[in-house]
Amino acid sequence: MAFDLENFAATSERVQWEDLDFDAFDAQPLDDPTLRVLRYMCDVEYHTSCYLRDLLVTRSHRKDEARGFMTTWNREEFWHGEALAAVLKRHDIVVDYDELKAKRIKLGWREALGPTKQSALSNLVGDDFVAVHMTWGAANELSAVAAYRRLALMMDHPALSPLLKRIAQQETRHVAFYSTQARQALDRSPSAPRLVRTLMEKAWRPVGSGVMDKEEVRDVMGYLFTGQAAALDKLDQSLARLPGLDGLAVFRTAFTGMGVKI
Amino acid sequence: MVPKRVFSDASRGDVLFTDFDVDAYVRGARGRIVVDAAAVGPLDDITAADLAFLWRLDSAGLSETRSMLSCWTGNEARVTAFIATWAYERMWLAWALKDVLDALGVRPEPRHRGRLAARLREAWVDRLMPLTVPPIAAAVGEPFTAGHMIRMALQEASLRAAYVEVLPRLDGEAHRVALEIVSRRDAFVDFYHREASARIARSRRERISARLALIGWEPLRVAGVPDPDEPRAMGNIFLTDDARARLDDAQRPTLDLLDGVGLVPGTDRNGGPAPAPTRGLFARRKRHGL
Repeated sequence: MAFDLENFAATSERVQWEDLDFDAFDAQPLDDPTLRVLRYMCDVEYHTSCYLRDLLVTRSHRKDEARGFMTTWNREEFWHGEALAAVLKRHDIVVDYDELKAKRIKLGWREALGPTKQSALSNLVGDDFVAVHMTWGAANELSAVAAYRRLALMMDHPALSPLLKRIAQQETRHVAFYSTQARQALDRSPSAPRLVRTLMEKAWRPVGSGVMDKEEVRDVMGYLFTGQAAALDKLDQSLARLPGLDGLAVFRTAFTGMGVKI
Repeated sequence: MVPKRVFSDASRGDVLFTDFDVDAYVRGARGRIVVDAAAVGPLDDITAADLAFLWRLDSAGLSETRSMLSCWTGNEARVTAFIATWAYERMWLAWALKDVLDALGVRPEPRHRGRLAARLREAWVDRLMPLTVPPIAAAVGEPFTAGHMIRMALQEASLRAAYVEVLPRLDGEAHRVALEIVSRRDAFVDFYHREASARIARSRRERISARLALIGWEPLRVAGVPDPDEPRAMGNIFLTDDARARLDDAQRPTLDLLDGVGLVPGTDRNGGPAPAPTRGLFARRKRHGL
């Protein structure tokens, strides 16, 4: 699927939820495991500014197209966080500026040195690092779409499910960008596929892994993807269609590696 | 039972607030300025070059975002919420200007740096700064953000002043677009100025940080890197003594903050006294991720 930046930016809207009947949460409140998953998703969405920062200190941000996308993407993801925070608020869970700041600071030096690490790797690896970033981004967005759709299906809730589907719909446009960019970067350099394959196989973890504790990631992913081998294989097939990545199975490897019984 | 707050303290806030309503701003984000290409009248080459210079500055919003997010400022959730929308709005300002230039047949492209000093500065910003500054900022803590806020307040006020100077040379669609850019910029100036003010008012460390951030830094540059056309463009846009005085006037309220003039203190989330600036990571008892 090709990506049209101008169309993407011009049609970008913040996700809407005001038309959904949030009073439905009074009659059908969400249970604690679901709230835990939503809190995870909310934190990850708000954390996009930190992912953006990591992209901006590498060569990935130099192309005009990438810059336009990142600006719009960051805003859309921010609003995903706002939407999920609104759902959590209906359940007396606070995700405000103080909460987000405290969360970011709690990550400590690992988080603070993220830009340094990314920049050093980018300087060291050169242009092939763009291929890594874009493939990594495609994997993250693919898993986000799958997670939102899965939760929407599991809950079948009159307010939550439509909201999650709307968020998933926006995430599919992000998949299109990352996939297009990854394809171009992988095509450009004969050495890029090998590097991407190695890093994705060894280092990729479900989105949120850099922000959340290991246990939290495992529990949330287990809640969503236990018994979902077929869905994860479909994600792997999507990624494996990129040039030089045939046979790559990062989702299956990562989820089973963290103990999720897919 | 899921706790109501997981990471923050319910009894006190750590985030600095000003009178600028970030929630209202992000909800009212302004998108594309539609340009009627057929209505863009001819422009002389010098004015077109001035607009291209301003386009290069405006289109670099993400470079400024990078400088802020890669340091402590990336932790400041109220600031990052603003930045998510500000960067989006600024992208559309640049896009509108590009549409005007396209209609004139001018293809504005980023320019390669000519002078050695500019190339060195660019190498610093592009390669070395992301390696060295984030750990320093993490050690300094929140006072680092005061430097970013005063820089951006000056940049946005200076950009607005530059567009105001170009306006009399424009007519028709180009004039309308430039006027809209000036108008939309008011909120940018307002946010960054109030942030700088509240932070400088709050502590000596933040005042020092703001002062240090301005050493060797110029507002009408992309992350401090001079454009190759800067001497000509600046000389032309601010050609007269009056024009230069108006630029000074635009910058004065922000620069005066450093001398304690016009400071407006911030508050915490409940409207109480401003919380103390958050200390750097070395000063924290619990260190995570080491």
